[in-house]
Amino acid sequence: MRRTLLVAWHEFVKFVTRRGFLIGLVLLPAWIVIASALPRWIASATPPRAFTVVDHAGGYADALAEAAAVAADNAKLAALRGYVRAHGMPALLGARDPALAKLVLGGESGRPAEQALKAEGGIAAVLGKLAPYIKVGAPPPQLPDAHFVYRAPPPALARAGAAQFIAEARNDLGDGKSLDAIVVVPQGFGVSNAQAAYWTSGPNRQDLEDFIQRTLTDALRQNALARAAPGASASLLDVSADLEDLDPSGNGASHELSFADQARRYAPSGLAFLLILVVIMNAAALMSAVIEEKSNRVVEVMLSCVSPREFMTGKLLGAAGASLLTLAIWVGFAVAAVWGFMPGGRFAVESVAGAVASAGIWPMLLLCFVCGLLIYASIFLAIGSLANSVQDAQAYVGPTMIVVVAPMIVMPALLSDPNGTLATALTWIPIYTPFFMMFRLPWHPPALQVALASAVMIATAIFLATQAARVFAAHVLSTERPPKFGVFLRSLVGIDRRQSLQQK
Amino acid sequence: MSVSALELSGIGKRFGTFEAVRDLSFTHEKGRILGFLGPNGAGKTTTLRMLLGLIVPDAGTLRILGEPSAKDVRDRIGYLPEERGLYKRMRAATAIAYLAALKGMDMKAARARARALLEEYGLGANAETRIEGLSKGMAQKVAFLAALAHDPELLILDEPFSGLDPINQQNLEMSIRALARAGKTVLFSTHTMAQAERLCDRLVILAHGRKVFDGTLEEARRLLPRRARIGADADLSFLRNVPGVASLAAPGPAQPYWEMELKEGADSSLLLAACFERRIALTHFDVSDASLQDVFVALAGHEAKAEAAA
Repeated sequence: MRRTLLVAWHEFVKFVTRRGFLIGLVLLPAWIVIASALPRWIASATPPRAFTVVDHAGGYADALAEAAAVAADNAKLAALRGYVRAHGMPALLGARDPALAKLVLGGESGRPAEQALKAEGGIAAVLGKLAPYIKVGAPPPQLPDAHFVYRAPPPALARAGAAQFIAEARNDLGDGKSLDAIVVVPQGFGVSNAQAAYWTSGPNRQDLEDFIQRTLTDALRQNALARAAPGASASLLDVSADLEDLDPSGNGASHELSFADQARRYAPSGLAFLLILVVIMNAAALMSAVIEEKSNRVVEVMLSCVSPREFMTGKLLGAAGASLLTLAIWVGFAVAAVWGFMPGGRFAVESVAGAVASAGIWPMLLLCFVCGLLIYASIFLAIGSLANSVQDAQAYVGPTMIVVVAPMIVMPALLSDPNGTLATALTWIPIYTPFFMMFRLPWHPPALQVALASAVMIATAIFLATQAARVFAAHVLSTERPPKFGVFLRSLVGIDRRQSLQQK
Repeated sequence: MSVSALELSGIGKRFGTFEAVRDLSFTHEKGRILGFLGPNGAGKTTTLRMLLGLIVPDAGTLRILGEPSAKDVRDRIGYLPEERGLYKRMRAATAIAYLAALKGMDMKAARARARALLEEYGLGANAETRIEGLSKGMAQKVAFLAALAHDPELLILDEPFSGLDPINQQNLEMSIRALARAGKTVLFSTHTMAQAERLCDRLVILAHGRKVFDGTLEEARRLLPRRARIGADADLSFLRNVPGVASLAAPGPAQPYWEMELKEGADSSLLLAACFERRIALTHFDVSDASLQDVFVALAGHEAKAEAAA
């Protein structure tokens, strides 16, 4: 055991001091940061969309202009809320001006928020009112410019008849010109079959087209309401069916599914994804380490000190330790990022941590993760011991990777019915048991299945580690051409017992 | 209590259709140095791997330090493979300490021992240098120290002189002698005859997987006749008739002297007497035993020829 632990420690240190490991460690967080920052950066870097409306029906140009102004105010309000959370004095604001506090600290959106903003006098007035509640030395707020900008139609365009319209439109539309789109609302729009036209040139501005269509639809609905019920308030249309997520097995007395409940449900799925990710990340390193040990005869020295089983087990434990460290650092990074940079991040972290601690499934999740690592690492170590070069290993890696990532294909079906026949059946494929069990655990699979799955996982991990040690012992000193993939599989599952080195 | 560190009896190993080692038997006494000689592909490394328990023989039995398998006495054996066998990114002191710890030493003691050995062998300043940053000679020395750090009873060295410059070869020879004086048993494989001649108490020569010689250096030399070489500006072919001369060769481009193979017990002074009788002025005269190189070439070459004929 002492030798195994020594090998494990050495392998762990060797693993975590590799340049590739350190790069892999920062790659995922960097990718997440880039993926989350990119849309915002793209939005901030996108020039405003300017449009005009030739309104032959009447009323629609005003509706579109107002909607553009409201959208601009909403974007500014969202930025202002972030600014107040970061630099404001919310307690003082709440005490002295509850209405303003509700506007800038609450989560109201849509028409109620618009009305509240209007009631406070608009963005400029809100900025002025907030000044006493901003900490001294805080930077000035950076409020975004309007994204959709309504411009009055150029006189020549407004006057143009059907024959001259296209020529006029060409003068105003496109890159480097004054307008991105021209909306023509014909007479009888909304009461006959007349269609509005959306003229554009150059790159497609899908966001602008969507905005125009949504706003015209709203306007049509309001007109229809006015015709059907003269005098009725337009706010009658601001209704939607609210569905409250409840779960009788939830922790709260109200059984309402909180953010923490959702995290508890879906975090294990994330962990299963990470398992596959860590395996893919480390597989090449595991294999190439064995191939290198073979080629420079380190393996001979090692096997003159320890048995193949001790060596393999040490390697597996070292790799598992490095993978757990990877996981811990990623989780730590995520917690730090959410805590430090996300609005309300501290609350989110505390709620998830509380939910995680109270869920009671984490020891089992950890077992699944470790068994999964050992199972997949055993396979890749056996491949490394068969190959004399990285090129040799490629012949095995392709099919093995397909086998490893296969569970991802059925994940959507699994999420819709985590305890159904498919999920239950897949759980009993030994090399996938850890992966599917991780998915199913939050959905309360039968206790008997959990117990049996634990036994299957542990037995599979031990069996594959033992078989991998046999393959390792039989092939690691060989410089012969590696066997075919089928022979490798048979060796790994114990059907082919031609290995000659006695285990001890 | 057995005095043999190694006892091999009828050992054989086959890889597919290739017979790497065939019916190999020899013993090696404790506290002695055994040279394991043979040309490339003779089966030396395969035999060493069988001794170390890295591969299992197909036939025969072996005992190492009194046990049937090296696995039972791992901690009492030190091993140096031909290509150093060290992790390239490890530091010298760590590499030695790690292997010593795997051989049963306490890690703290192993670290101290590694430092002490590196100092003793003039590598103290390189203790924290990665193996990949050392010269080939230095790395070989570190690998040698790693093999002996845990104070093993038996040292198995596979081509230990390979790649070393003459000074480092001499230093390594001195180290091996010192180990033998300290009571350690040493087995080293080589195809460099000079070191074997200087170091070994006993030799085993392999060719094509078979043992072709097992004995002392003197016994090896006695396998070939003594040679006499005489230089003179005269025809010495009459020496063929001198009693005790087995064969005679005239000088040639590669050999400036008349060369004679002498029968066992032949009196070389008869050659001088015959020349003086004819008043021939000699420019050179020497009589020598066969070198190990000669024996090796004769044995390994003969075996190769027999193999080819079969």
